This record gives sequence, C-alpha cells and structure tokens, in this order.
Amino acid sequence: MNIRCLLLALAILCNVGCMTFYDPRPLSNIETNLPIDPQEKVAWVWLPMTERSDIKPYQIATTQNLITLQTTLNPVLVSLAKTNQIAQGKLRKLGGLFDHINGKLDVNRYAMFLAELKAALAVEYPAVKYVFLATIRSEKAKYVDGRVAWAHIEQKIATGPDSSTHYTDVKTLVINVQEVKGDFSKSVQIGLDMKAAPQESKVDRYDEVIMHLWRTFSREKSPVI
Amino acid sequence: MIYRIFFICLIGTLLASCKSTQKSMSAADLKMNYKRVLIFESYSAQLMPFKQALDSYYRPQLSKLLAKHGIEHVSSKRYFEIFDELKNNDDTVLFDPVTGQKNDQQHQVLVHSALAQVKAELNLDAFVTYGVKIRKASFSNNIFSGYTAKWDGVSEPYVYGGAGAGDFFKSFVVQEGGNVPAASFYILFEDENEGFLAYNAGGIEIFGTFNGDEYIAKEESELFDDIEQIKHAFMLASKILNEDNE
Repeated sequence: MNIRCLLLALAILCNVGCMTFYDPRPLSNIETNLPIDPQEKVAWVWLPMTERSDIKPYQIATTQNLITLQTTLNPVLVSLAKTNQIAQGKLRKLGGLFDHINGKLDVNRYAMFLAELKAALAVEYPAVKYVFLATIRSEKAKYVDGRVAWAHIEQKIATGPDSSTHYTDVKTLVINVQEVKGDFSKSVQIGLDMKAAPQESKVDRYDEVIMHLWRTFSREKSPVI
Repeated sequence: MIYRIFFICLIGTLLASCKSTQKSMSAADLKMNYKRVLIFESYSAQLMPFKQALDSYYRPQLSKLLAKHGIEHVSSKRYFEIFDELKNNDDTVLFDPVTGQKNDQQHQVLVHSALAQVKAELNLDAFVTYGVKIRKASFSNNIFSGYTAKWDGVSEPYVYGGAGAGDFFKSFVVQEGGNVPAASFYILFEDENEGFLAYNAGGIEIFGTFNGDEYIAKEESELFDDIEQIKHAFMLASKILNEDNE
C-alpha cells in the first residue's frame, strides 16, 4: 500500500512539476510627485487594450484583487464596476478607438473618449478628483536564478536547483493618472506578474503590488521593508 | 489499477517532453522541385539599424547562391501589392476596433490567399525567406563547454573579459546555465500555405556577455563589425543548398 501511495505521489509530481510560486512584492519606491491627498476619491478605468485575450486574465485578477482591498484603500476607490460601465458606454458610442485594418490607435478618438469619460465621471462622482487610466504592458525582464526584478517589483519562482540567467516575459501595470476637472497627467508603472495570471479562486496575489501603488498615490510614503 | 495509472502518467510525461523537430528537405530535392521562388527578407525589428548594411551583403550572396543552383527568383513586390488589395477590402476586419487586438485567423487567411494568388500569377514553386534574427544561445559553466555560448554552428565566449581561475573552480561546485541573445543568418523554404520545406542558419555573434550575474550588452559599434563572422554565417546557412542537411 505504501509503495502504491509513493508511486501515485510520484506520478502526480511528474505531471504538475515541483514549482513553488511566490507573489510579487515591492523592491523599490516609485518616485512621483502626485498631488493626491489620502482623503480624496479616485476612479479606476481599464483602457480597452486590457480586453485583449493575452491581457484579460491579468485584468480580471487585478480587478478582483482591487475589490477585495477596496475598503482599505486611501485615497478611496469608487465602484470599479460603475466606472468601467461608464467607460464601456463611451467606447461603444465612439465605435472603438482602433483602425480595423492597421490596428493603429486613433488619437483623435482617444482624446474624445477621455474628454467624454472625464465629463461623465464628474457628473456621476463629483468628489472624484483623479481617474487612473490603467493598462497592462507585456515586456521582457531579466531572470536570474529564479528571480526577476523589474519596475519596482521582484518575484521569484523556485524550480529546484535551477540556476540560470535569461530574459523572460513579464506583465507591467501602467497607470496614467489624470485630473478629472483639469489637465494634470502623470504615468507610473509597477511590475505585476512574471507568471500566468492567477485563477479566480486566488484573489490576493497582487495585494502588495496594489498597496505599494497606493502608497505612491498618497502623501504618506512608506519605505520598502 | 494504481500501477496502470502510474505508468499512464509516466508515459504521458515522457511523451509531453518529447520535442518534435521538422526535417528539412535535402539540397538535392530542393533543387529538383523548386526552380522558381519568390524571396522575402525578414530582419528582427531590433536589428533595423543594421539592416541596410547586413542586407547589402546577404541579398547579393543569396541571389548568387540560388543562381548557382539553377533556382530563378523574383522579388516580393507583387505579393505585397496583392496583400494590400485584399487587406483594403471593405469586408476585412484585421483588428478589433474596440480592443485593437489583431485577428490572427483573418490575417492568416489573407496571407495564404495572397501567397496562392502570387504563386499562380508568377508561376512560382516556393517561397524563400532570409534575414537575420535574434535567438537564444545557450551556455553552461561546465568546464568542458569552454565557457562558450553555442548556437547555429558557432560558439563565442560569454564570460565578460574571459573566464578566469575563479570561474574554473566555481564550475566544480555551482552548476550555472542560461541563455544569451545572439544573431543568426537564416534561409527558410516554405510552400504557399507557409508549410515548412527546409531551413538552415548560421550564427553571427552574441549581443553581450555576463560579468557574474550582470549582463553587459555590447555597444552598437561593436555589433556586426566583423565581416568574417557575417560571411561565415552565410556559409553555414547556405548548406541548405550546398549539401544535404542530414
């Protein structure tokens, strides 16, 4: 019986591998001078590029993670569902932002989309001072002995005695902070993930990424521990 | 029953780890079956600053190679004209207007239609793509590897400043391996459905070296500055027609 159990365990290990995943964690502070007060309210809108099939799983996971943290965030984040519904409505009205033949972003339509989105947010949420226009970028980062450090974040994956150096695909969260009733605009970026997006049951992988991002947006910047 | 499950899992694992490789046609078969081809050039996007200089060597060399083996070739100009005509058709939606996501299936349909159309129009037998691409050159610090990265028939030292006594002794206790980006010249034969016929490549050089864990990229002025490396890469890739690729 014991041998049977051992063989079964071995078979399972052969198929799932011996990987241990580590969640991304802050590595360095994001240097910005964002004039956002922790008592203010902000809105988060996913830009339509995050609906692409390779990005969508990360968008969903980040959204779920934001929702679980929503009550703890300062500045306060207003309803993600509502703000993204407003954005979807504006996009539908404009018929999209991209050329159907060459895929290029139509900058004039994008400007219209932003103007209409901000106007609608100002009506729906008069207290919201800034909107975070969020997208997720794919890029390469250096992998050294199971560890990747990029865009203020580090993440590890243990694969036993694997010791190698190469470049690997990572996802980076890029936030363009725009003033709803003004022209202020500033972008920040922070590493999100070096692995496949988490399943729906895991809603805390990006806890530290989100909290680190929020520290940047508040005036009380905490050092990285 | 439990043993059956174990062996099924084991066999599944072994099969999953098997890597299929495509076998190139022999040089003799290529020369016999493909007498008239259309040529595409394809350089990795990151190599655009070097493209003109590299192509001024590789393009005439490829023309000579094909001519030497009795293969007539035409430029890709007509293919792109046909592709643009198909693409600009009102019914074509290559990108989702909302997300900007490329419709790969639609793109593939257009490519195959254009290839089939140009093949019939110009009486072609096959398509040849050539150029310089970036790929991984693998290395390990095993002392028998000589501290070199190896790829596409060539090797180059990957340790910044050369391997010293410390690297030698370290190799006994720490097994390190990895990849370093490298350039290769390649020649690829395909049919009108982008079906693989034959491929060969020759390594040119690596793009940087490692100083411990630190990757030190070569300066732009240090890249593709050795004509002998460029020539050697062509010589290796040209074996696709010069000898059988067994």
